[in-house]
Amino acid sequence: MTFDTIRFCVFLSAMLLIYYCSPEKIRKYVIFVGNILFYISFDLKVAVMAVFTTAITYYSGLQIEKNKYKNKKTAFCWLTATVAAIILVLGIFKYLNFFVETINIVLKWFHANTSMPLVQLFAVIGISYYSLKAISYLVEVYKGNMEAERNFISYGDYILFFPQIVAGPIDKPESLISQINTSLHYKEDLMKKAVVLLASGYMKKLVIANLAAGYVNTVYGNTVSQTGLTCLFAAFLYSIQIYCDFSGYSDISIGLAAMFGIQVRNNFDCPYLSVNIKDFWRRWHISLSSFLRDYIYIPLGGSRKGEIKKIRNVLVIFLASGLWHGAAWTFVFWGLYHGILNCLSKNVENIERLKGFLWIKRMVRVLGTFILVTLGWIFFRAESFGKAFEIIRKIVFETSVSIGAIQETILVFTGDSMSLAYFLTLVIMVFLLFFREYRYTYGGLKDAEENKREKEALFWTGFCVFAILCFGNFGTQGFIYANF
Amino acid sequence: MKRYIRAVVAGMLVALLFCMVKNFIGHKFPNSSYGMQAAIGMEEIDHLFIGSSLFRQGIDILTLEEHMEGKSYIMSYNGNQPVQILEEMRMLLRNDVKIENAYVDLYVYSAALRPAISDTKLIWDLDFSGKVTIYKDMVTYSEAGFPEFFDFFIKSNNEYMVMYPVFYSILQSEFYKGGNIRETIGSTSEILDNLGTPGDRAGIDPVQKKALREIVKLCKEENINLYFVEVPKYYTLAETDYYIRLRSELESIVSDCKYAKAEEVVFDNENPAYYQDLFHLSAEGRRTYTKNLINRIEEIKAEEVVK
Repeated sequence: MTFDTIRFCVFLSAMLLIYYCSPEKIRKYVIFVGNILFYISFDLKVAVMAVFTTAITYYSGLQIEKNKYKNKKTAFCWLTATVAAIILVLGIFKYLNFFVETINIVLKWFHANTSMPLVQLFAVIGISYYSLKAISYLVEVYKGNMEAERNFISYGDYILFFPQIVAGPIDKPESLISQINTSLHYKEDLMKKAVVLLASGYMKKLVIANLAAGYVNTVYGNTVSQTGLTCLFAAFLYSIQIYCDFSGYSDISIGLAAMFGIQVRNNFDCPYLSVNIKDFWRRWHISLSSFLRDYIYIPLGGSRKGEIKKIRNVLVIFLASGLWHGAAWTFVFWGLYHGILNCLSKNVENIERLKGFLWIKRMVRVLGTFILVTLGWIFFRAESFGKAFEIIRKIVFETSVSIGAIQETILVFTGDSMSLAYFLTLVIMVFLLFFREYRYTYGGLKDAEENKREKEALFWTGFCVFAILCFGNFGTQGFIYANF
Repeated sequence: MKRYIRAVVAGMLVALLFCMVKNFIGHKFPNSSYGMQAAIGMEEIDHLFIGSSLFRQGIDILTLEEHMEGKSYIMSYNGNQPVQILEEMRMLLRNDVKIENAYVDLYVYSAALRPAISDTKLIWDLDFSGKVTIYKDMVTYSEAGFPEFFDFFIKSNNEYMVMYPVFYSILQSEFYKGGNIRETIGSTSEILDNLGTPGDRAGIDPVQKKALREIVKLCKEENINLYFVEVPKYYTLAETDYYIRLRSELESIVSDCKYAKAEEVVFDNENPAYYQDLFHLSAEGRRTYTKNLINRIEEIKAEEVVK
């Protein structure tokens, strides 16, 4: 049951009805039941595993709380053992076959006649997300930034909160748990925000991402018969697709939480308007970046222990980010690529200080960053290094711009004359989306009055509803980040 | 909050209005070079070629104009099935178009399918009653449900409508009286010989069989000279056992009608330069085939006179 299905609409409507008809005190129980039902809709085994993880980490949190002042060592043991167990389970379900495949490749290099069999495991939806949430909770309790939650249901709602199960955001425990405990009531400002975010999120996903997905899948599925220009366009479209897919999901997720009166932090902040890679990572998948910064980068020493160690720490968090995204060497490479670019990037504040023709410099930097990010996405999307390099080779050596080549590139959408209509519609939608984002980041809406911003939000909501109904591609693609 | 609900409702109403315009008056948007409305605009058509993309790519309108007396027009939609061709003919007649000769595409792969739309441009071009008839066929014979209803009446052609001004100029430049006037180049034997064929089918669909008979009946009632035409397929497909079997099944339905079989028209279906793929002809193949098809039609006419 993903967010773009009729079943989910029915589920959500029923949830909201029961939720707001219930007394405020029992609303967290309603959410908990909803979370479990949502999980069961994927697979009962998945639900059992998630609840089991929740129970273990809940108990561990209480033990850490109990010992953190009197017996720090015991608390540390509880923290280490539980985090190790979480990572072990995550490793087994997500990376076991990756390691087996890697070992088999190494054995092949040495001409060994033996190979290890792959292990058939069921896919655990959301394991990457709830595992990180649990780790975040345990660390925060250990550090004394919050007290361990004594109510299992409140804790369960934090870990298993259904709007965040499939693809995050990975929210901080303090804020979410305190909201679950104290303020589960109707909030008009959040409900307004929900309407805008849901319309915008579904538009990004159903109209732009799903339309781009058809094109991208065709090209990446058969690179041999594609022209250089087609590969270039597919690479560009994938950048658009993954952004609209994931930020669309995040908008929906934040909007759904807001419908229940819960405020969740933003996960994206117009990342394709970034002026360099460092800036990009402050705006892309903010919750994961914050997690990696708070729980890996800073404990490793951050930027405090010299330039070499800072570079090492940056590379470590980006390798971890790459591995977190997927169990393949292409993801590891993608992480390393971003790590290196990050080390080479200046701080954004230094760029903002540049004077004269700022907007031209900014445009050039935005374009340059987008191209670098797009290059990284090729490795992220391709099933193998061979395919990624094939696409890059085609882009570099076989791209020619002529009327015929452009026609051939556009024709990939549907294979007939309707391709042009799909292409132009996509271009218009992407333009409108980025134009709006630009206005929010740099333009007239950045510091506009509330009234003006609200008018714009109302117009955008109406437009998104129209676009979803008329141009939405329903039931064709799942969310990309649900796979990670 | 009321303002936000109003914004959502306004978006829905605009979408509804958009779909109503598309479904009720979209087909009246001018288009003088391609599709059904252009045919209706002609009012009198001496030679109406009606079929799938095989006709658009396989029949050359300029050669028809050069070698056939009277007005010619090629009406084609991708994967056009007999049930749809029947409805298209009915719509032309409803709009008082006078048709002297009709040449109907006999294409086994579209006739072997249950009623379904392959080309959404057809939905755009049909008037509302035509749309309803085609959709009812889909419901009756193909178990179409809500998703199909949504695709048919809400989703289809929205991109086309938004981009109509752009499309109009493109169609004007690429088509003339329904025929493709682009210089499409042929393929090579390496490519064509390695292309997979679409494979076997269970047989000609009973609903399509019935529609073919209805087309014959309609033409008789309206005094239209009806010819069935089979555009030659590349030999790697045309010589397969299943293609031959399916084609003979299709031929048996129209055995009493005038029929220009592929092998009766002089044409080298082993020449890769004549083909873009296994089905569609190149510009060179199109011109050659059309010229020889006209000769074959003249022969059929002569045979009729003798009878």
